[in-house]
Amino acid sequence: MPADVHRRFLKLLGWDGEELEAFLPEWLKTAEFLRLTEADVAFAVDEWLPTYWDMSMCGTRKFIAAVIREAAAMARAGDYINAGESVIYSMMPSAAVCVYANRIAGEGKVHIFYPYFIIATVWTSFFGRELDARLNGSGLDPACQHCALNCLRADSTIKGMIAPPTVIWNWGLQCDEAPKTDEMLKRLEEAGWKSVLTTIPHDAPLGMDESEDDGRVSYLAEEMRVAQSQVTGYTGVPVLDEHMSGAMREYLGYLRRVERLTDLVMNSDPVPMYGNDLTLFSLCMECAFDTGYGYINDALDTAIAEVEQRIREGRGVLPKGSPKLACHFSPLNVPWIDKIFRDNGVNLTLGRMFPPASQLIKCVKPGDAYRSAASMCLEAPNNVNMLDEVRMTCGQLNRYPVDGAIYGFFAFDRWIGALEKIMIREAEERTGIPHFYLEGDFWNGARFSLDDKLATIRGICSCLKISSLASGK
Amino acid sequence: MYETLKELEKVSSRRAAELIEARSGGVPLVEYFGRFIPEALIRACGAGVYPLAGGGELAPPDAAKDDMLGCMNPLARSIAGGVKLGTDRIAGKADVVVTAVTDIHMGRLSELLEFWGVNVCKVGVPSDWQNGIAFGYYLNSLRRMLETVSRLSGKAMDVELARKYIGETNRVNAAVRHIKELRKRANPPITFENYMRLQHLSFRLCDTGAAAEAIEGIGLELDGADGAYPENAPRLLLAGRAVAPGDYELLRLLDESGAAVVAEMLDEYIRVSDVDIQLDGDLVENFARSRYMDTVPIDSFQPSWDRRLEHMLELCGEYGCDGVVWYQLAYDEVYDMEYVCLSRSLAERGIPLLHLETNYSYTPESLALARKQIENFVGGLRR
Ligand code: SF4
Repeated sequence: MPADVHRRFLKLLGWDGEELEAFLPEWLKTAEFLRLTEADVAFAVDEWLPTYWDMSMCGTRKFIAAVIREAAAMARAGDYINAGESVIYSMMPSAAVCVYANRIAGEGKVHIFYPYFIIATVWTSFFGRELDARLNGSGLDPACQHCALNCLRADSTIKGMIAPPTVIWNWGLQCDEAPKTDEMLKRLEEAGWKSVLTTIPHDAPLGMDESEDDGRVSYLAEEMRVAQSQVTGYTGVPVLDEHMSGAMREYLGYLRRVERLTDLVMNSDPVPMYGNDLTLFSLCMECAFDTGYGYINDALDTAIAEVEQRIREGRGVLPKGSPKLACHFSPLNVPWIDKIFRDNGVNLTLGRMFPPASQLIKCVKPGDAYRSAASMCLEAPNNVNMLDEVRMTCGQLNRYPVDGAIYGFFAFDRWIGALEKIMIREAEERTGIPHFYLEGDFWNGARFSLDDKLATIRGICSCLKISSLASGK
Repeated sequence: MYETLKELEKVSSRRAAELIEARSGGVPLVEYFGRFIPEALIRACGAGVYPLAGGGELAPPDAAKDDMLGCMNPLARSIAGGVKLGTDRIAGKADVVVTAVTDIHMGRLSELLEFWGVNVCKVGVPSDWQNGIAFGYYLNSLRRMLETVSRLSGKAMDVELARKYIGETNRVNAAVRHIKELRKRANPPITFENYMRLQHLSFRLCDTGAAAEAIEGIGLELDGADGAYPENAPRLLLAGRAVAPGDYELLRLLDESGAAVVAEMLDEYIRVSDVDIQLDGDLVENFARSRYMDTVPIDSFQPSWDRRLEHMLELCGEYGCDGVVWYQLAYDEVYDMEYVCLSRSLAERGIPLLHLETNYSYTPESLALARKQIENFVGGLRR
């Protein structure tokens, strides 16, 4: 029976009984929307998920399920539009609070999605489908090394995969390419959707702590406010202070859980969780879900309890004393990276650009929520000048006991990757922790293979193990 | 023409030496990059100016590769490498390097220079130019930069001098417009290579009065000059981010292809000559307005491509262009995106388009390839 494999998929992620049967039709539609065949789903259930994810952790299964629920909601975007509701699409990285406030204000009539990020995550992380910048359907020159996420955006729009929204809220906090992709698609598709842009030039003096600079924070807050008023013009739903405060409260609730989980995992020996899984839980630091925080917080609470249990029992994913390598990029889109390190006796940890949940929480001040949101954006390491990023990176590396740090999967990214080699040298000098560079592209697994990377990864692992032995760990 | 340009080249070298000497006498020296930086106003703050230029040679971008990602555009890598190698005439001698941060390539380049210990002052140019608050950001950023220069020189901006220099800038613009008019002739009296040399020299003379005089003089010379191209040569418009001072070999290929490059739409290393700067009122604001609001938006501005296409079509009409050459810097991702849109729009209108890409490696092989591409394109225009 064709639905069997889909049932097995849902069951693996924790659906059961009536709830499973009730969700199944929606999942079937979602799988169709995501262009996933039965073979793809079978591959995920039988091979991909059990190989690269710790499916024995209920928290992990719940978080994957939360992402699937979000994809299912997103597949309904066209229905929402047809029903006269508003749909806002947004880009990564964004100020999640600002976007989420629209959902609160809309009371069910405004939906928020990060479609390209969700599709990319579901495909690469859970179904082993690589993004390939060569397949962009738009005529972009592959030799130009465009970001595979933007290529996916171009491709999926051109192929009509994604329903046109009411408005797209673009963010130019890092690269130029992401917001410009919107302009390109509007030109190519002659699309009628509206767009709004929030951006700030990368002109802070090198070394400035940008989140502490009143001028930058005020300007970015004002950019957000202006963008919101434009978004409201299109949705017809005003976002008031109370909505922003509500969104901030929910976001902080999520951040505190991420911080708690990160603290638990990072301070334990043996390490109780896979690197991919830990990274997965921080997925919503720069985006928000239309399905809200309920599912993801439940997944986090479950994971926290499970990790606490493992710590009490002294259980880890590798033996006690195995080296810990802080990973600067998000490994979950190329999940075999985490496994290869683990197979070679090294824990990959942290992930997602060293999420400084604790530092973000400190940015929240009473009063203007836009200022707090702006300050948070300027406390995200990848959004700011290179030495400010080094400051934050070193903060994380000094906060947790790690044996090394690894970078390099932004070799396509003219903002994040531009000065990464210098950044590494600087962070290594400041922390005394060995830093490694493994060149790659975390969106675009098609750009390299396991064989390309195996020798380097083994070399890094040997180096870490030898220094662990030397230090008597 | 060639002799005049050679003479101006010598003047510009002398000028660089004079600026360095003046610096030892206490006149601060400011190196600057970008159309959004007002050379006239910096000079009015009591400093000497010199354009930070690079591009067109392979050694500088290679020199930056240990520090900068290989897929940054070669112009940013060239400027960085030029500073590192000291090939830039002023390298290491400027008191401050002023950069316009219009995109991430310029943003990261500026950071790299700072990291190397260069005193950099960044002028932020927000890309969302139609957003009411963005112009204020750029304007404030300009004012802060001018204050920095004033602190270095110990002098506040001399408004009368600023007005004089801006008047001279407008004269340069008028002289450039005159030459542009001459390029509308059936056979333009100036090759594209010489035209671009003149554009570059107009900055390197470091003195708007001298630049105005030089270009006006050349304009007069050209008034009575014969055509520089073969008769009935197909006419081209060249568009892209920048033609760099080291790109002349490539320009020569174009000039020798049997076609005439008669118009251009470039974002850097070129005079913004279509608008004059108002001389009354707040001069800083007038300058900012002329660059940010009153002219064709640069590629990274959002939105900009509709307006840029419109402008390109206007130029094609005015100059009677038969085709367009898109001059693409390797890895310049946003320009590549504009090219995708442009190729569709021009194809719909039946306007031929050549994609000419450079990473500044002008080896005999790459030049031969470029020659072939150009010849095929021009041959196609003739048929
Ligand atoms: S280039 Fe970098 S910042 Fe831009 S969309 Fe891709 S990953 Fe994100």
